[in-house]
Amino acid sequence: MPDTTTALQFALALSPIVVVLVLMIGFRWGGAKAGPAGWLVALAVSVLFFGAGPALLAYSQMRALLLTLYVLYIVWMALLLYNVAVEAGAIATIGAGIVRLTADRALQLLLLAWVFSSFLQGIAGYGVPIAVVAPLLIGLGFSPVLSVTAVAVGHAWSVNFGSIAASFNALIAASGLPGEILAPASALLLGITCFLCGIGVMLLYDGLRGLRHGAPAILIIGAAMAGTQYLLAVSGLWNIAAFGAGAAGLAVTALVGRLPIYRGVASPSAPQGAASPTSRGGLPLSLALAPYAFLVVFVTLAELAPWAHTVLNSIKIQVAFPATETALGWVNQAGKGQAISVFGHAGALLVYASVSGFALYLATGHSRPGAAGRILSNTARSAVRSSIGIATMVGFALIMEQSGMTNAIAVGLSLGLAPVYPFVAPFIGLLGAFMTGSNTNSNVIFAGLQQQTAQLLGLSAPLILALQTTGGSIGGMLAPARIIVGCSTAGLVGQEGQVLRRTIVYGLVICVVIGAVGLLMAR
Amino acid sequence: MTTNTPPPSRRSTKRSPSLEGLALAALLVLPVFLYGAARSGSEPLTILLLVLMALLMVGLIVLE
Repeated sequence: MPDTTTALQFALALSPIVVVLVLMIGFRWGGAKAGPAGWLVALAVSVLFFGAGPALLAYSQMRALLLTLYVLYIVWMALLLYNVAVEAGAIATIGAGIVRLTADRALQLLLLAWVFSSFLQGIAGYGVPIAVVAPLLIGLGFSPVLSVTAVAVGHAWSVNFGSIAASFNALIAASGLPGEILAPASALLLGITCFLCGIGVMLLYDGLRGLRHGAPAILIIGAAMAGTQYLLAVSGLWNIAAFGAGAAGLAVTALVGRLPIYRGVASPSAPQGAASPTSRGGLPLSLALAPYAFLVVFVTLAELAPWAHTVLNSIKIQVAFPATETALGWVNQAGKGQAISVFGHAGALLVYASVSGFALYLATGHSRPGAAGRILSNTARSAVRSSIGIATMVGFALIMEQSGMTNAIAVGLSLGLAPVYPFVAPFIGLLGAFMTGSNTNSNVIFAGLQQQTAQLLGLSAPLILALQTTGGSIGGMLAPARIIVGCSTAGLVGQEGQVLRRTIVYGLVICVVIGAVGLLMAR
Repeated sequence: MTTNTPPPSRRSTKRSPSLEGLALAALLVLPVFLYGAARSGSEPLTILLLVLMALLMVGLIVLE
């Protein structure tokens, strides 16, 4: 059992998170207002109870700035891509194309929120799927809250092996264990999560009725995606496991759309006034999809072509930090903060896709006078508020991490719940992702702690680490910083609490199921 | 029927866009000064900048 000091530190460390959750869920504050409140509480607790000094706090905010810029680069440029597409009428055309693929509303939602967003997660990084797909769903007539929530829940399973397996590679680096040892349990747990995410999307859409209607599609598409991911991961191809799984999912969804149950049948409770989108000015589907196709090409080139990867990542912004220590002895090693590759970052790839798409629309006569000005002003107008929320959320997360508060929460959980540690392990991963909005960061912060605890308790380290990264993947769906990204492109800025209220339930339930599976696997 | 989907509607806010832009700029600039102050070893300046940042956070809450 934890001693009184540990329990007190656990409660104090948790207080900023509790404050933010209560303000966002209970009082419906937006991220741009709840973030500053969390920052102030974290600052006060870190100074008064965790012995954080001025230099440590100053460096924590510079680290936070780098992470914020890393995230905002994507947010702003995803908005740019979205506005390029909107200006040319591409969103409406894509919507019409999806309706032609399947008239079934449930399958449309599954296709975009579960399959296509996972495919995007496979190739792009932080927040891109939610920022890009949520507006497409809104264009199809789904409500903004459902659109953001469904994508947040739908693609969570693909985060670990997504972005060229950035999170999984962080797990390998932080644990020192080979990927071949870590891959099987991780791919298995994330495969189960894949089905749970599909189920979550259908429950969000229409409760049990939606789930019954979508069950055949979830089983078939889920088996294709989870199976492909597992086979690729255990074959040593974890870098493209989520990408391959998403591609397999897209192919299978096209076939599932031909099943009688999903062909020409109005599914339960299609939203009133649901869109039956048509293109304006006769924009062909191939042109409408062009900016997204450009994005896929640029991301694939940047990640899979060694020469392009080297050239694009030749210029990086990076800042060196000295070691810092709190009065309680928590040490942050000297090192470099979040690196930002100016031309190889996901945000830069979004710029290339946006510019290419805009040039194509201009060349083919699908751009109206003044389009560039409208695109830029719309992008700037909708990005500022969400940027404040993201900056303050990341700021308080870094205060907590650098002052040892995040670690105190993890230690409290592991000590207090040692007998059921495999059940707790994914919640620690989830906590890391909740705080930083990133599974990769969660793995970097907690992989060592999880590995040590597993060894102390005589548990399988690969299993506990797999539970850690699975929890980290799930945690993205309820991370305020990630939700703010989604809300920024869906016109829900300031209403992030509405989304969080839903995703937190699904995230916690999925984490409970994964924890229970972990308990069974540990026996 | 939806044709060209307009940019999603945004909830009105009491903060003006220019004020929000200013606040964001301060959020992005203050950490750089904090880093410089900490690097120079000037503890009073670092504390002053941290207080400024805390006041900015209060402002963000109050001005909502």
